[in-house]
Amino acid sequence: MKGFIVHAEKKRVTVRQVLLVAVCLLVWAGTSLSIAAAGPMDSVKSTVDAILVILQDKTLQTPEKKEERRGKVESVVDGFFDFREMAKRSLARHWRSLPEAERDHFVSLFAKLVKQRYITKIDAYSGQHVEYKKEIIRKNQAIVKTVLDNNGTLIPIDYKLRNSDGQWLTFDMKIENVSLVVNYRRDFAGVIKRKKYAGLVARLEKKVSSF
Amino acid sequence: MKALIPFIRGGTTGDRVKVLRQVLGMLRGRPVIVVSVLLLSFWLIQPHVVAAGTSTEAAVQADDIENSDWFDDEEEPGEIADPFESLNRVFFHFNDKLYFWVLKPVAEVYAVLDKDVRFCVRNGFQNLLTPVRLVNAALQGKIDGAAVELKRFVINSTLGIAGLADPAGREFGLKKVDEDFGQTLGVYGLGEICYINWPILGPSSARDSAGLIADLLLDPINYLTAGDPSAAFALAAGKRVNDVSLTLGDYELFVETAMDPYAAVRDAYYQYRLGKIEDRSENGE
Repeated sequence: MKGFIVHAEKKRVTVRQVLLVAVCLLVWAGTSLSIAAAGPMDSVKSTVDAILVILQDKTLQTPEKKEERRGKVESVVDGFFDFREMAKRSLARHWRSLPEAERDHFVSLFAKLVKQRYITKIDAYSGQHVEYKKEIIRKNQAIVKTVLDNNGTLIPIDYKLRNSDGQWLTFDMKIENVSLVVNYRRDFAGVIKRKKYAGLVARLEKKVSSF
Repeated sequence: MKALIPFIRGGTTGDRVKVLRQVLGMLRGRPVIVVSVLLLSFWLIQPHVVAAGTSTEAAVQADDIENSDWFDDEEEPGEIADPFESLNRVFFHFNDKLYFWVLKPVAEVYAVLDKDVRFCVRNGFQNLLTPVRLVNAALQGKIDGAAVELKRFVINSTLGIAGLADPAGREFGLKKVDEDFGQTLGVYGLGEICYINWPILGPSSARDSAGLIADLLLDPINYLTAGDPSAAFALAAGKRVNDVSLTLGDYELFVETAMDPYAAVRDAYYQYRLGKIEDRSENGE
């Protein structure tokens, strides 16, 4: 009898352990599944949604909170854009000849420039509607097509993403078919041709410091 | 019609000329027939354009080609030729000053008007320009697009009170089909030829400038203000100020964040027009 009780207790413990393990497994599977399921379009969607939450936050809409609001938007954008890849592609062949330290310096300047061009506009957001059209995945790259409805004017915005370590990061964007990377590549190439790479960096530093 | 028989059966050259003269005489004073014959012949000559516009299979294939370009864009597509760069730069500088010294201050004052009012003004101008978009959609074989423009015009001119509101877009999901003759020429394979930065008008290309002139023929404002250049100028200026007031800040931001604003604007114009001609970006397919 005594032995039976002990056995039963033991059994209860094992059931509890099994349950615990099962729950752990479920949670783990759930999170890993949700990570695996977060495709390129989900990445764009969740980023846009996160930015919308910040922009619609009433407590951040006062003029004195403008800096704080921008900081919050920037931190979301930082986790969504692959600035290094963008900078590399914008410099194209000039990137190859750069030493690592110069590359890092260029990436930080370039990130500021891109954020200035693409985040400043977000402040003017007033409830435009975003429609997610489709995602095209090819190997570890993807294109996500969206359309922004700005008071009846449709503005196509496409994102080009890259899967790095299971995370989809954007490394180019097309607004009305104008590619960020291609536009900067041509802009930079022209300056490098006339003023060399040093001239480009000098101009970049000057521009970025004025923001 | 009897006169046509020798023409078909193979009469003499003189007969043919006579018949041709008769046909031309019949057509004189009937522009509707001329336009529809031209439209028909466009469609007959360019069946692949119609096919690309209507068959989803072709559209999907074209879509894949476009996207594969963007998937590996390490290979540069050619830039737009710019043989008049130094002159263009002078005009760019002029337009830049025009924007900051005249257009922007005027638009800022004008912007005291409520945004909704300014959207109405923009809608009104866009509604008037329906013939340009409709005819060019048709010329490109985009029958659906032309139909959308026709429906939009009917709905917005009536329910939308002379096109000031856009119920077609808001309630019926009929979005504007943005076509012009520059795009039509592009669809038929004509390249930009070269970049032209016009004073006042701004970025364009040789092809798109020709397109602009052709589109003037379809612009009702042009006929409404016929013989009154000051009225035409006032309307054009009003349209421009209204447009600028709705996009204040865009130009400044772009120029501030470009290393060589002239070159950046030139490239943006080029890419933008390529996208308009490829056209898939708009419907997002």
